[in-house]
Amino acid sequence: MAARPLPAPALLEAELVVLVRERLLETPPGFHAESNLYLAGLDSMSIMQLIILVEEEYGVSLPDGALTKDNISTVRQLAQVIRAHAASA
Amino acid sequence: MEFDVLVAGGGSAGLAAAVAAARVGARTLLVERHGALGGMVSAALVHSICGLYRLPAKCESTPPALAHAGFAAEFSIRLLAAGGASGPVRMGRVDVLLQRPTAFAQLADQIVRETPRLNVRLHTELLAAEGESVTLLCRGQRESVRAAAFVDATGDAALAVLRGAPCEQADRARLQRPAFIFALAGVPAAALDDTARLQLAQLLARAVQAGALPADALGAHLRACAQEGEAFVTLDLDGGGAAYDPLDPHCLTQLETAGRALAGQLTDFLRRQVEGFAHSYVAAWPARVGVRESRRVMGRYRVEAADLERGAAFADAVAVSAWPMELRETARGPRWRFPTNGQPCDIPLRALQARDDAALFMAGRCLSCSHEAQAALRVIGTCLATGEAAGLAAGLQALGKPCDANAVNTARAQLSSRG
Repeated sequence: MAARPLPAPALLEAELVVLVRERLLETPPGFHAESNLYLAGLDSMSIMQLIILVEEEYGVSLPDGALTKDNISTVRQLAQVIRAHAASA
Repeated sequence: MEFDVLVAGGGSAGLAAAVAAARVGARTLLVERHGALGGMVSAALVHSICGLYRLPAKCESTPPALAHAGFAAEFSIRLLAAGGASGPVRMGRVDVLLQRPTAFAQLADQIVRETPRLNVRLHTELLAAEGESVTLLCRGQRESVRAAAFVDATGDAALAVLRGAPCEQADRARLQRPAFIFALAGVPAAALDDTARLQLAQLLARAVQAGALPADALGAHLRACAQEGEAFVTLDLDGGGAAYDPLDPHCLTQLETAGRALAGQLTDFLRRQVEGFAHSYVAAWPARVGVRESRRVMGRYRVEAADLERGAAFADAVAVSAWPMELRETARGPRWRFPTNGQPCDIPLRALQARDDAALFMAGRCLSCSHEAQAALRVIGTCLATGEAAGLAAGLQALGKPCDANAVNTARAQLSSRG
């Protein structure tokens, strides 16, 4: 179900920063790939949105258990999770 | 019947206003349409008090500090002492006090009993209002009362509308979405820890993608309650998008039935599919859907988003707001806007005074502010603070005493030291 090839790591992070900023959270000024997503407002409700947005955008499937509180606390970590599951798909 | 002050609406703002007015010496009547005080807490099962504490400093170890003196502090401390609250707990960048709606209503009753000069009419609606007179309605029976000053703490500005005071309201498409909250019992604490909640979020997302749950389930949020074994489920509802009208009985009816239907589907899913929820059941429905925003009364000053963003100070400050703007214009989670300097924003007395109606004050979520600012000012901690300030001002004015911001703040300090 790959929507398009996964972009290069730096571009993927940049795209995810934009996705979070424009479609998920009201991010504080200066929000970047290493900013804490929970401090930017990520909660259990927005995590559901995030999963769906990421899966639709990148055609990856994040299996149950793929996400932990600590492995999606920044965009950089989230990009690593996405790359890991895109590679194994 | 003759009163000095009539307070319409017995939610957190109205309770604070009525108690403050009576304590300052005014014969006060508090009118509430439900069978319990507490407003959105009792009727809509709002189970946390937001806006009580200052925003935490960058350093994570800073303990929470109450943002308000006076009634907000008194109420939260007594609720904790009565075992009706737990916390505060840190959620992201804010501190929140978890509370039990039943305990909130009981404490409200107790405070009313302790307060001389305070009369309460439950199960009572406003029918008409003009000048010093208000017509009340209880089950088809009218009662006429008179008062010298009024506080509209109805949330929907119902008293202001009856008195003909100008109000405003955001476009329906932008109004804060409503929430349908219900209590789920038989939920072990382990089913609601951070890891379990994250797994649950993934399961729900998956079920929505697979069509096993409606897309509206993406507005669901589960939280452990201050009561062991119970959880509260908050369903943010879309309300029909641009058709959402929190003042229209057809729309409200549809929201209630849709809320219960979605709650039923979600509960069935949890029982069948999610570990820990097999023996869960709906312990309580709300008496009504939780409306976050409707009318706002036009005051002598309108609090704006820019005031909150810069932590504005006003010479006639009578309360503060310490909560960020929490915009819920969609049912897909809040968008937070924090003050740039992390500081509370003053709420001027003028924002609690109707623009062209000297006898009318307002408190709670219908005070004078913009749509964005209301997303911060509407929370219960701030309602307790604006309610107290409006009640003091109305009480002092009705008794013919000085009732400017200085007098309000002095009265609050005197009452606090006496208690």
